[in-house]
Amino acid sequence: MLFYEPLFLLVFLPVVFAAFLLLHRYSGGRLWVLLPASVFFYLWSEPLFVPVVLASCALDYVLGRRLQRRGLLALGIAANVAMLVVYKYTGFLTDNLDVILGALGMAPIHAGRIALPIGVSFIVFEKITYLVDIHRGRSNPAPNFRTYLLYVFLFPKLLAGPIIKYHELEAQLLTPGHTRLADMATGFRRFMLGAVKKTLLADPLATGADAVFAVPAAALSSGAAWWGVGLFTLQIYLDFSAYSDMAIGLARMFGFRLRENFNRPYISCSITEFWRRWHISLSTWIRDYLYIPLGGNRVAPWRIYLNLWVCFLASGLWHGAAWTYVGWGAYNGLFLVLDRLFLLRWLDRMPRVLANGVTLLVIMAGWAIFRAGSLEQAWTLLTAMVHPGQMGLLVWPTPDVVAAATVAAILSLLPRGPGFDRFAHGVIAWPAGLFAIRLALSLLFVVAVLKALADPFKPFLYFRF
Amino acid sequence: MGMRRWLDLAIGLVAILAPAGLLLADTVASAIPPYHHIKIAPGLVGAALPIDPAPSIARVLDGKFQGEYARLIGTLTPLYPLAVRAKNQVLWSVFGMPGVPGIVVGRGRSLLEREYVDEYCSRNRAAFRPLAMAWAPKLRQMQDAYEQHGKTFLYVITPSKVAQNPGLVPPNIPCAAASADRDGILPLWLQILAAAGVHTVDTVTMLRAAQVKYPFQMYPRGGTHWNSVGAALATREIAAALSRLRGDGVLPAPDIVWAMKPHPVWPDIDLDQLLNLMAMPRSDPVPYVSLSAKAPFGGCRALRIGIVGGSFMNRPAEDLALGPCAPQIEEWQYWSAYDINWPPGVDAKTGVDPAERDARVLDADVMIYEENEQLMARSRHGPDFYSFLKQQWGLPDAITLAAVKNDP
Repeated sequence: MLFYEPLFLLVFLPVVFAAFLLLHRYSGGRLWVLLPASVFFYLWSEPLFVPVVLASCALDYVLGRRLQRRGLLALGIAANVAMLVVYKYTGFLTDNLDVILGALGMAPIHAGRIALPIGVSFIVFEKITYLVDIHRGRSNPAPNFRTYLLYVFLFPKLLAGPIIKYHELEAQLLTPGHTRLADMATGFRRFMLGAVKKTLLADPLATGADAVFAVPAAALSSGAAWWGVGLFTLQIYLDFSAYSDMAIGLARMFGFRLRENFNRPYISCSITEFWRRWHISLSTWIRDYLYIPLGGNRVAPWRIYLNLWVCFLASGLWHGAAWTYVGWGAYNGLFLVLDRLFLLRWLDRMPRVLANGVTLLVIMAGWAIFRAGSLEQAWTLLTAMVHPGQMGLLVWPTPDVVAAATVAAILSLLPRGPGFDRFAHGVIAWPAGLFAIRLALSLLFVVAVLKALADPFKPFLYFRF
Repeated sequence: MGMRRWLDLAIGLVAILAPAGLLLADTVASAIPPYHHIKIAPGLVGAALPIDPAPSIARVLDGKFQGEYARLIGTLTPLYPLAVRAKNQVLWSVFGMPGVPGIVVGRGRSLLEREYVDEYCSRNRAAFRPLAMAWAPKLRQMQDAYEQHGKTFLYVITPSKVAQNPGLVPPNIPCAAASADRDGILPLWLQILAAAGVHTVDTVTMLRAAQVKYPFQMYPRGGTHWNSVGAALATREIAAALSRLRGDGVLPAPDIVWAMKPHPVWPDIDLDQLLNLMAMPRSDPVPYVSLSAKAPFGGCRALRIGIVGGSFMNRPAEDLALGPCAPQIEEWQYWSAYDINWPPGVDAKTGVDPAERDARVLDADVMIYEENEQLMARSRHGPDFYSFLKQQWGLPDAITLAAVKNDP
């Protein structure tokens, strides 16, 4: 059940929100509306996986109360990671093992395929933060099992984040307070923004990008390769940030403040800056729960570089069980290391626009690896991109894709413009300007809902991670 | 809380709750006969019937029920036809694109069916030849079977809008087939049919030759089928062929009088309707015919005509049924899709009752089997028809075709 589907917009959200309005002022009212609603939300999509998550949550809860005993933290983390490995990486591991066994003349394993539950990567990472935050003394164990369940299953962030660390939500879970009408309104406006970005921009971009990537890479002209990678660059940002907008907006409607997940990533002037602006909840998770335990910045330089690269290798693997994701992670890790070595100083000496342009090219090359169906396709695509004279198939862009790409590019890059922030604040501070923006958003939301009703099903990119 | 905040909240609540309220009202209304689903916009043309999700534990556990239910719930809301038409209208008016898959906007905003464009642009005589060499003898077997039972069999090839007007194909669709393949496939098929001795009416070549004599296009901008003049010309050819085969004049070839009408109607706007817009696109005037024919010398005889083919035969069937001898005509579209009696015509079409069809197909005095050039020698309804006749009548031995040596 995705946030812009009619079932969610017309049935689930109105029912849950109506119940919330009626009960949220009562003690425990919020929990007793949101917890069953969230569990039902996940049961609808993954009826077989929910019992596994519930059992895993029970283990976390029990371990969380006994973490002073040695080895229990490691046990809890291992149990969560094992759940992720079994559901997400079994096929990938056995396929690659079969290649090795075949090379050695041995019989393959032929393990069966396990269906990948939606949101498993996000859920596991969040559950790990619960155990680690308690161990570090940053949080107390949840006062009761239902509170911990609400943290794990909270439906706005369940399927595709943001990855909320337990300590970020602890106070809001324990002392909810009254949800103000202003929060509900602000949250709904954020939800509308996400719906507009997803249905009116990300979906047409997806259609255009898919059309290019469906053609064998060797047959593409250089222009077509750039066009396809450019579309995907815009698509993944609009799609994922739209989902985060909807998640943050919904959470705000129900009285929760979630951290921001994107901060205008395509105006970055280095890869280091990019990862401070892109999927912030993941990059801070990697920093807090992987990079720092590996030694962080307190070890020898060569270890720092190795740790950085390993962390981003892991980040790539987190995105998916395929060598392209591993390759993308390694690619980003390499550039983070290069930033530390010399690249950041070099970029800092450039005009901001030029540094932004260079960084954007590096990012786009990374997305080519991420989106490709195989490392071979990625290599062929990148080769086409760096040979401007390469002839091949032109993939004719349709007008709606061109329009969506134009708007998406403007939205992504306009903040780089001089005085943009001052201008934006000025417009918002002006009552007529604010009214105009809100009216336009409302009208676009109506259009987005009608399009969502009319369109065939188009899932979010990140919900299979 | 200030007025503006209350207004904010009110708008938000209406936005969230109103669609759900409409859905609830529609669900209640549709449960109370004789009310039907509330419609805010005209019903959609060509919409598939929604699947009724069948709940079961297995289908819930594997997610199939949830997927089907999620797809169904949107179609049940009264907003659904409005949403589809509004979205399609925006795509059409702002971007010049159809919102409906399967339709292509050609040059001059002429509408084409995607499968016709794909077929035309992928024609390959070398790949077509073996199919044609295999199918032509089977057509001859069907023909011989009917003639052995004292009946008449006629094979009709109808034209494709794209093949008749290749200049309409838009530049953004690659049309890789060589012109020799695009133009040569029909002559090859006709040669093979002649070698097999199949009685054939080639309305493709007829229409192309006739086009130069008329001041209008034989295909309307917003339709996929020939206009009524093109269909009437085909009717004349079919009637003449049947008269030659039967040796009687019970189906006189009609005289055609045409006049332009400013506002085309269905089927000349079938693709326009399939676009499912809020406002129909403007169309140029389209000709409509009136046919007249004299009763044959010696008077009329009752004649039962069966047609197995596609929708291109609708108009000729109607024209033949309106002839002076008013034959009884029954059309089984694509063998098992629709059953249409002429009269009353396509408005009264029903599903096919296999037992009824099977009896009447064998009972017809005349059997017309039609394939559009988009499907020739590759139709699905042809093999179904062939298998039926083989089972019922046991078909004569197939002829062996000598290799058709010379490509036209």
